[in-house]
Amino acid sequence: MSETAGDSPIRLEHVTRRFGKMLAVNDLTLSIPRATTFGFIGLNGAGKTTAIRMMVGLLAPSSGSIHVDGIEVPRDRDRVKTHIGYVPDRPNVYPWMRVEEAISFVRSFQPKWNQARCDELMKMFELDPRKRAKHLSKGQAAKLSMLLAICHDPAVLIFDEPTSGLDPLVREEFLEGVLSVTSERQQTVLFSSHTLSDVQRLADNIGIMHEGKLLLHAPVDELLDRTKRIRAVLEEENGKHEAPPGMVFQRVRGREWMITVENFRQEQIEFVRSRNRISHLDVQDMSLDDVFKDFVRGQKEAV
Amino acid sequence: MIALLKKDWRVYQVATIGCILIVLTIHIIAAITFVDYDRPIQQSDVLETFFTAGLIGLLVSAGFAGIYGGGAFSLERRERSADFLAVMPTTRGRIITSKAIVSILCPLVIWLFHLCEISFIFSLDPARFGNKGDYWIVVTIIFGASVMFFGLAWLLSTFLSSAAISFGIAIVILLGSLTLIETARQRHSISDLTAQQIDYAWTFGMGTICFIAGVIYYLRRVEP
Repeated sequence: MSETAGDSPIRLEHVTRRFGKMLAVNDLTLSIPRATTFGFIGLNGAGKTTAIRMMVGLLAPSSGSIHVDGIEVPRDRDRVKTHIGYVPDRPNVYPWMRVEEAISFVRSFQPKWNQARCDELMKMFELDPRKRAKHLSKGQAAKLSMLLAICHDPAVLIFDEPTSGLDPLVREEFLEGVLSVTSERQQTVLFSSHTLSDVQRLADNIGIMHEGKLLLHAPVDELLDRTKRIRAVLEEENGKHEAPPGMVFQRVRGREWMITVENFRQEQIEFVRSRNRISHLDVQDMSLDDVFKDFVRGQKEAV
Repeated sequence: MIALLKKDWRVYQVATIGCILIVLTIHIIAAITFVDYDRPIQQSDVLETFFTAGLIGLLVSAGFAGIYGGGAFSLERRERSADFLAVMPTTRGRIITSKAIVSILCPLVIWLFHLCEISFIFSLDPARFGNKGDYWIVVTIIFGASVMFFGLAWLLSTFLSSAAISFGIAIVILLGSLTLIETARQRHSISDLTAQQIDYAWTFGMGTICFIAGVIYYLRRVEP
């Protein structure tokens, strides 16, 4: 652990990245507490991968500052590499390397390489040391990437959509692997994925990125607890309706009126009842998938 | 550093094997010309044939210098293994040193092999191959062209993702600039010797400047 990392090994302050006229990441401020898992979600092109590439020193921010385990990136990018384990969306090991060659290559750079752990993971992932990277299945290649990223016991682990393209069985095995390697150690994990059930399973906190901005950053349990869907049945089809404060997204179909609200409280129900002519009302819990979709839809409608 | 050198050697393995095969083919073709020869084979025939083969080999190694330069960074960037390398805890200085050693050494060894070959043949019968000055002019021009080709392709490779495009642009600039120098020589009645000196200074100087510019740019660049 770095002396200056404090309680947030990943810290981004007002980070912006432009590609020509396109704003890929817009004033992103984010702080991830030590020994927690942060789920990073967003649509394609939301800016997640750009943000991650800046964190691991593969891309320079146009403005703002990034600190990983107390080290400024990209200024000290060479120093930060022993502190980070990075699993990219597509495995990028040299295709001609055999599994054992890839391990030996990475080991030669990592002073804190844990060979016992590597051997243990080789067994657990059932990787054939003689197989070339280009001949590995997607699942095996993802597992090899994970093995190479974690055997130097980094303080920070960053997964950028590592399960994309994996079949459900392999994805399950991969997630089991992530859970088993991260639960034993006090590592800070950033896990980006489109599969929200994976994120819900792994993450303590989540952040939703949309069009380069961080829409939301909250603990998963708290978010699910305070975000509810109010389902009201209007007396008249497509009748007048006034949404309560804290509305994130609403949709009317016939007489059915669905309202997603944040910071759910009883007053919101009272508001709906008192300001609208409704025949029925109930409150529903939401999955992370629904919360994500409604936050993004709400944002799109607001724009 | 050893791991990087081994890796770079492996990255260039296909190009090296390709180059060796071409060079071997040239020499095999040279040898085949003596099968069913229509008159008794004289030593001078053998020397001339292999002198020509050696010169073609020199030109081939000049071409391969462009392939080695063009592939220096773009090959890895294209297959995304540049990202893999970029997250390894090693410095850009070491990465580029390893690339420079392997990508310069491979074409240089092939180039030197042919230089030795034609120098040896030349020494056996100097009168047959013109005067010594002409011989050295050819060798130095091919060497200068190799340096420029390598340097240009190396520089382009630091920011392009295609070795073929780096190679293509480099060859167009090289041949274009040499054609311009030749046109200027004819228009302004510049002597052959001066034109050759300009050729050499231009190709060698330009190649060296491009190589250094590529090194500086890669060291300063954040992206792999």
